[in-house]
Amino acid sequence: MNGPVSAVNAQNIARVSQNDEASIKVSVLSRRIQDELLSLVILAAEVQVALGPTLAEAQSLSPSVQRSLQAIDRLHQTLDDLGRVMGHLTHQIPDGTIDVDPLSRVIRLRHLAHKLFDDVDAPFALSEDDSGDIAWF
Amino acid sequence: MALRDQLRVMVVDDMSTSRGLITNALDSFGVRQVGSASDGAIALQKLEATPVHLVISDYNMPGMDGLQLLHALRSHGPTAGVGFLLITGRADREIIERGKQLGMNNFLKKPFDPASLRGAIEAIVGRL
Repeated sequence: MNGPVSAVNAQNIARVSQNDEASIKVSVLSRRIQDELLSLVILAAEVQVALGPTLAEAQSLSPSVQRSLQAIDRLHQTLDDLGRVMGHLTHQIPDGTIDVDPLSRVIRLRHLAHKLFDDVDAPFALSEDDSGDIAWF
Repeated sequence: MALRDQLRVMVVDDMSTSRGLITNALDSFGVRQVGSASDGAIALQKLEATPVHLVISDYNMPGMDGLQLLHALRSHGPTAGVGFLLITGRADREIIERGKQLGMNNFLKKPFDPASLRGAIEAIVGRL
């Protein structure tokens, strides 16, 4: 990636490394992933509650749409199970550390990276690059 | 009067999206006497008060799963003869065999389309 965003990311990586905070304990990361999965389960449940009555009264839902909408159940239940798996893994796997930078680079949602690595819940973090333009991440 | 006008159905699923989709599909078939419950225990209470001809139940539910609900229905005189259609994301042989032993009338694997649901219902109750 080119441009101001990659420059900002590079600065962040350098800063984190200088502060000797470029790794995270596996148990901490696992716990935060589990928390995030549980949050998604709650979100999925809220979507279900919102959609259910609407779908019951909806007119002319195509068969393909009906099939696709059933995937919400699977998403919900799979996220729930994955949360349980992460909770189990947290207590089972040896507690080492993982480098944050390579992991951070594969995460596209910056607010998710903040939650996992910094324990900061900032879903719509506002940042300002060198040009003075406001950018939403 | 067509069968669809007389048929009373109970939809049991903990997921409101699924309940909504099944109710929607039933409505498109002309089946409009439809109740719903979000778990097996609530379904049993409602069925005690208002008997139906057919129960359409999800398998995977917290607390009482679909087959436990079927067992409870078959073990209780007033509901022992109700039609039972199990809907499951896992059509494992074990689940199907257990269902047959308990008196399941038919099953349908998720995801399904309305035509499949109609076919599964008609295989139990006859042409709608």
